[in-house]
Amino acid sequence: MTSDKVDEYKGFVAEQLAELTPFLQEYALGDFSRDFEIPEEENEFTELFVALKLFIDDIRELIRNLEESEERFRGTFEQAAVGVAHVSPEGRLLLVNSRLSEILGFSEKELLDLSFMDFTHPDDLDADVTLFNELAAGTRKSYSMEKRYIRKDGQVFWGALTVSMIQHPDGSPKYAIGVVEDITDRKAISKALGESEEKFRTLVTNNEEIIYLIARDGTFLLSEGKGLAKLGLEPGQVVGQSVFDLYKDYPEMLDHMRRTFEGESLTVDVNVADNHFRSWYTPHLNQEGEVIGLLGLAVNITEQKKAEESLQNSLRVLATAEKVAAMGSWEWDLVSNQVTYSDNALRLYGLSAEEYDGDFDSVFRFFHPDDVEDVKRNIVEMLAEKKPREFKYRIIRPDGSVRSMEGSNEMTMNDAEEVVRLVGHIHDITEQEQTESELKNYREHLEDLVEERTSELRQTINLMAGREVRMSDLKRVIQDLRMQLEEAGLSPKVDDPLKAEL
Amino acid sequence: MPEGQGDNYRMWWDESKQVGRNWVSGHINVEIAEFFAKQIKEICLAHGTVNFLCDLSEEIRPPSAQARKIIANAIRENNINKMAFVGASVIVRTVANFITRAADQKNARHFAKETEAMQWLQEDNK
Repeated sequence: MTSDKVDEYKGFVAEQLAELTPFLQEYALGDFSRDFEIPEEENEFTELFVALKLFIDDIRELIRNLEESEERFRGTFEQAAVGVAHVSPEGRLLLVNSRLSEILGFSEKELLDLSFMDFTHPDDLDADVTLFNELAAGTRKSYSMEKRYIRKDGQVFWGALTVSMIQHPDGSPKYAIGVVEDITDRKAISKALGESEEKFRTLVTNNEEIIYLIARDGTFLLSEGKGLAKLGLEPGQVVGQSVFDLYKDYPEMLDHMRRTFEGESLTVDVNVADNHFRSWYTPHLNQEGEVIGLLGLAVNITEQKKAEESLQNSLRVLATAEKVAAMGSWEWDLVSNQVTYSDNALRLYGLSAEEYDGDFDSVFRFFHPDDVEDVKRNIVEMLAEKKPREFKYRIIRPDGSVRSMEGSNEMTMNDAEEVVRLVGHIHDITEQEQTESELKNYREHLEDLVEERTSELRQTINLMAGREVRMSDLKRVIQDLRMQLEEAGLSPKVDDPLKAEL
Repeated sequence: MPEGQGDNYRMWWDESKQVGRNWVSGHINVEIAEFFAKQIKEICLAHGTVNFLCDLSEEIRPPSAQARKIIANAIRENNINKMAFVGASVIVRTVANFITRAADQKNARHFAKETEAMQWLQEDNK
């Protein structure tokens, strides 16, 4: 190549580069905002220029991506609901977000002068430092722990910490990223939950009833309660076993359970191994509302059943006794002003249960009009004196017959010494009164008779005066007379005139 | 028939001319580059060794480094016999040269008009 050609070529190159130089200077200072023109006419520099343009475009895209990434990171870092910090391998805080500042009570500036050891509770420090050192040494990639933090104001809170290490390309530690979540509330809830569960377990375990949970396939998941002992079972003994196998001889009970698995809640009485249970079955649902099992509570009511049967027997005996003795009973609750009569008491009044409404005021309509005021006066006085008393009255049955009654009662007082209840007994004394009346009449008749015979005797004695009367005859007469009087129950009364005569 | 398109790009098989064709305008980003790579693969699977006519006559911003790499790999890994580029600007033409060279595609040429490009592509069919 001649020197002219070389000069010409140098000139061409200088011309081309002169176009480019101002832009290169700007690019060298990090300003990639301007584009240089690429001549439409292709030459030896076209590919160089295009390659440079592509290179500049790529740098621009990298810068744009970097800015976007930085913006995303900042947003994530600052808006995070958890505390985040970058920590040097020595433990000093390099970068913190506002949430960490908030939960620790230090300003971001103050935190950057601290190491994580400064706000870690002394009791948790050793464990945290040991794990952090393992992380810095590269023997561990990350760690998580729950530890106590000390706020600037001295308050202690629980945090869940997760730490991972960012390494240099040679594997040496660059910085650690620590994420802290305040779990004080969760800890408190967890503690409360634990206590609640313990209480529940204590309740279930010590309960006299039986509590059980059965899965949909019939497997016992829970079986607790002291009541199991009556069935010869230990708490938890049947867990894992199938209810359908264990209670195959109790088809009615299994039918109840199947109905519960289909969503029905039941309360039923069942008899198992001579024990009466009142059982509540309720479906156990998952969050979607599907039946996944059943929850059962069984109360042993065997003693209650026996007591009920005993009470029924007593009531039957009482009713029989009242009937035989023509007696009845009643109870007056002064608080509700209701009067309850036993069946036989109603029978004595000639009433059926349907004809009596239980109201106190309606009681008086059964009484004989001549006795009502007397009965009322007796009641008023009795309540005033707070002393039970016995009194007689008459009632008129719906059929019009009049019956005589004799009443007695007992009182129940409250703490204020007020009468709150009266329990009374009534006795139909109509027949007794009739008998007594007849007896009285008979007695009067006998007394008349005695008087008559005494008079006759007196006359006889007078007639025998001067005559020899045999004593044996006289004794016979007296004996006859005595027998008649004894039959009438009046012998003491007739002795006297005879003795007087004799 | 493999075919697909977006607002500013399209690639399809021209049954009458027996060539794969594409058209694009604006910025060829990674998403469009991946679409072209997928379409090239499907067209080649359907028709064996094929020729491509690339219409670059619209205003086009050169693809990014990652997009260039994706397209170069697609050209290299599939059975493309000839590639004809039509109407490209100096910059786009130069970028196309970078890509075909990186893909080791030696049978690539630029044309001012589509008819010339089609004629060149169909020379082997005569």
